[in-house]
Amino acid sequence: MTRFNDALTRIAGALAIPQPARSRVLLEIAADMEDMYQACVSEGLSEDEAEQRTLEHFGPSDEALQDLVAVHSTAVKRVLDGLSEQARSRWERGLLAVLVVFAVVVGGQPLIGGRLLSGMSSFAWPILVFAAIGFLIGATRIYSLFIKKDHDTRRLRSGLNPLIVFAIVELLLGFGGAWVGLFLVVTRTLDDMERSGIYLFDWMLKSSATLCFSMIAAMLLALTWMVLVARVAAIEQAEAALLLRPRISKH
Amino acid sequence: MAKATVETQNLTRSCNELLILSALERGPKHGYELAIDIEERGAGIFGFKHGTLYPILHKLEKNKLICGAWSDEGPRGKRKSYELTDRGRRYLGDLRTSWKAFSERLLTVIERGKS
Repeated sequence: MTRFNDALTRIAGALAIPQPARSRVLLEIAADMEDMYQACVSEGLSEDEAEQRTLEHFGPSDEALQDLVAVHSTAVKRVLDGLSEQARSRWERGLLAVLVVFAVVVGGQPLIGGRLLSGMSSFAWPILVFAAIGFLIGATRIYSLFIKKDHDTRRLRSGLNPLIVFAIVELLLGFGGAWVGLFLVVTRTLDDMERSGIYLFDWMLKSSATLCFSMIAAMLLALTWMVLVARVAAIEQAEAALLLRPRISKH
Repeated sequence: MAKATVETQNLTRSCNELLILSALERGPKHGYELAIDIEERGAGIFGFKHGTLYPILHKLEKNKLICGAWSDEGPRGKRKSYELTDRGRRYLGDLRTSWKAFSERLLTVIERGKS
């Protein structure tokens, strides 16, 4: 890779951060090392002296490496990094398959028939609005990544996080709606005990429809988010691989 | 956004942050250019190991105070340069004020210590 291969390999070994961030950090350090080396040579130092001085100045300390790892690690990444590459891939594929089958089998038919929508509580509207906004964002990102192929690194991840946030909001609205509905049933029952069975049955029907819809919307949004994040990660990996292409041979 | 105050328990890091942000205020720079700029302007007083730059740079970038961008510089290959964001500019202003206040207070304490 560069004349500083050994030093970079040592740094890479201590840099426990996920790709492509790891490759980028190494490339950044390698480029700056090369700059300093060239500056030293132009000052009149021999190649060996220049290399030695560069290594003295640029070899990050253990503390600096730990700080770098801390900057690039998140709680989710730490959990995922705990799994092997193979296990992660198997887990993701399995989860995707289960989500797709569940969404299609459970939600597809009633949604298409319109029975589900007609039977939902008033919480269906905010759920529908959030789902529509989420799917709109998802569609624009899918268009940009898969059709337009806009792989600008600064824009790649923009707009992805709201998808998972909306998925969580859908779930909260679904379950929140069910609880509010139950509270109203209890209030009505206290006023009119004779019709309590009707109120309860009505709540069960509406809540189950609303919950079903909110969960399907949440799963589809989460699924879209996963697909997009996987695609962005693949693009970043490819970019990092390109950046690390052999360029400078060791003298 | 992180609060722009002088961390008295970690003066070196806080000082390095200020030096880096001030250097970037004068224009976008690579890691090595940053180190040289700080060393030259500091007349050698702030000569820190270049390897310690990266955690600070990446933390500032993560906090959106600076923005890093890769550019292809032909035979020199790919280089990452950093520039100050609007948010970083505001943060730098606050940090400068904090450091000035801190320095004045420190000098006052030293003077009293003398008498």
